[in-house]
Amino acid sequence: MTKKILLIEDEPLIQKSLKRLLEKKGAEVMAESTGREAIRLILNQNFDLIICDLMLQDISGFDIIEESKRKYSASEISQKFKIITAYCSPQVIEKTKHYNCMLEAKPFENIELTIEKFLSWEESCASC
Amino acid sequence: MEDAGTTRARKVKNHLKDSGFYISVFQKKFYNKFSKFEISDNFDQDLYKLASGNHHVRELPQLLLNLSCFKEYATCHLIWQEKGKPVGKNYSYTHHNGFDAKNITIYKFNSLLNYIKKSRNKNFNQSEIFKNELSFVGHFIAREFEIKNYFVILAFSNNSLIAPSTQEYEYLDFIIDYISFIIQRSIIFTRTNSNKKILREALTLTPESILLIKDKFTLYKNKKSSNIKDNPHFSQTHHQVSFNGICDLVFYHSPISVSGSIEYFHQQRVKLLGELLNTLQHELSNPLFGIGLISEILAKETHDSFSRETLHEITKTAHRCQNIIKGLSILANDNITQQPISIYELISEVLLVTKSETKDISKTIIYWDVIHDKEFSSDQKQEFTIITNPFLLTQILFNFIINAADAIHENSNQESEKNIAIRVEKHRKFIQISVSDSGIGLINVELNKMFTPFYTTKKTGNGLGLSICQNFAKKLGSQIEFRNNSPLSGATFSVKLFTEV
Repeated sequence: MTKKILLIEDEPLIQKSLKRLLEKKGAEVMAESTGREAIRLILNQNFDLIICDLMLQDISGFDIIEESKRKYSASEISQKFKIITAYCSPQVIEKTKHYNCMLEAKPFENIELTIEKFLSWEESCASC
Repeated sequence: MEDAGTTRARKVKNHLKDSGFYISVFQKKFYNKFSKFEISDNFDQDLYKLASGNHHVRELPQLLLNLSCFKEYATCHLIWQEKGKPVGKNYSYTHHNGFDAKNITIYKFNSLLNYIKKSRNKNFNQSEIFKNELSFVGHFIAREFEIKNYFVILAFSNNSLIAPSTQEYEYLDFIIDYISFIIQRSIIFTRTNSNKKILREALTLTPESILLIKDKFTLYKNKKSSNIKDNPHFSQTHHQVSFNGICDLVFYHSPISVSGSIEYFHQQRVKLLGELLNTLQHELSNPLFGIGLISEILAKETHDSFSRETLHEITKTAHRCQNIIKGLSILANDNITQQPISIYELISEVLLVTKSETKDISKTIIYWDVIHDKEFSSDQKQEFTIITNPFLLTQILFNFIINAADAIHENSNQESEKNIAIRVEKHRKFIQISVSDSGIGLINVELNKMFTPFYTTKKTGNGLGLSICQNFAKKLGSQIEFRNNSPLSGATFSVKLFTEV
């Protein structure tokens, strides 16, 4: 099944690279730079995976997660959202734990490994 | 010849007159209009006393309630806010609950202010609004004024459910003109007092000692340490200024206070630098990561070998930039205190930061095991850790290397080798780091002044490096040592770091 991914990242080269690497692995990737537009996409479309940067031009990744609560349950959020950030402070780690999402710190040590981590996902969702 | 008390009273009376408060006029107007209101004979005296006293604004609610004209009221609120400040103060007094002081945000204050302004009859019913701010029950009357650069709200309530009569409003209106004068005086007094307090505190915090002297008496001094005049340096390092013909103002720079304030400003500059570096680090790391990623991807996809090679170079360059930025992290993190650090990494970092000054100078680094009288292997030297404050140590070594580079560049002898030798020696109880240069050495240098602030033999030196670093060395429980390398050229500066207490 083709995974539908939303990539929310405002650094143009990182957005381009991640999109290409994910597409090479067979996923369908939609990339968005602004938070507000991303929220609109999340609420109007269905994504299997949402890779979200925290520090966007307009709002924070956590704001996006909060807005997504209108559509998704807490367990869906913890499963679908993968947070990426360059600023890994204790507060960020704390908050990510609160949402129970995967957190990857930029720059990635091993890009291949990180992509694999993003794409590995539980097929069964019924128990979520 | 009148006595001091009478003179003062006369002065106050004249001052009040200037503000439009004529007792006789007040009496006439008041009794004519409000003769039916019972008022004590001393009412105008009370008002007068209140106007001439020095009261803090927070005392006013109680003092006003005690005036006979307000004897029916049970609660008084005086809320004031300085224009431009985000928070105001809400003082209140009730007869049975006493005094209360709260903060009020500018938003709540402005809502209340506008509410009062807009009201036609100035008759308010407490019920639901402003419950948190006003402790009234039922009806209350209120006025708002603008006094100097403050907005003030004054409100009274008898805490009953009966609305006050129109006459009571006219009465309050009448009184308020005089009350506002009292409030104005209070505000001036309160502000002057708090300004004085702030000023005094600021003076105690300045590093310089400040004295106010009149003839032989010290009127004021900002530091507890006395006997400044007995200090032998006093006549050389103080500045005396006549202050308005009233007294003399004396600034005294003690050597301690000079280097104390120098170090303080240096620390502030370094701290600012650290913050800038931190921001830079974060701002650059994202774009560099992007460049590295995309060039790697394109390199894998391209068939043209020249493009592929070039893209690899781009990736490597981006990684190198990221490492440089990461390497500046120690200078950026000044809140790290004692922690285990690798001497090898620290020295590498200092060399990286001083790369441009030492471009043309060869550098040798030796890690020497004194106990076994041999050099450490390359694995061993990487494991060389010591518990210290990396922030301070980095600055000391940085200073050593910059001084060494300057000394070498001042050496006009073209044939001599340009070399900086760094030697890390592990003794049993301490590690010694020394930096030797092949420069001009310590000639024409007043050795006993080397660590005093502002002493320098460099044409464009500020003379602060060694004095600041000596302070840092002291903080590390050590001190900077130096010697000439004679018969070889140049000098060596070193610092010992004790590994055992």
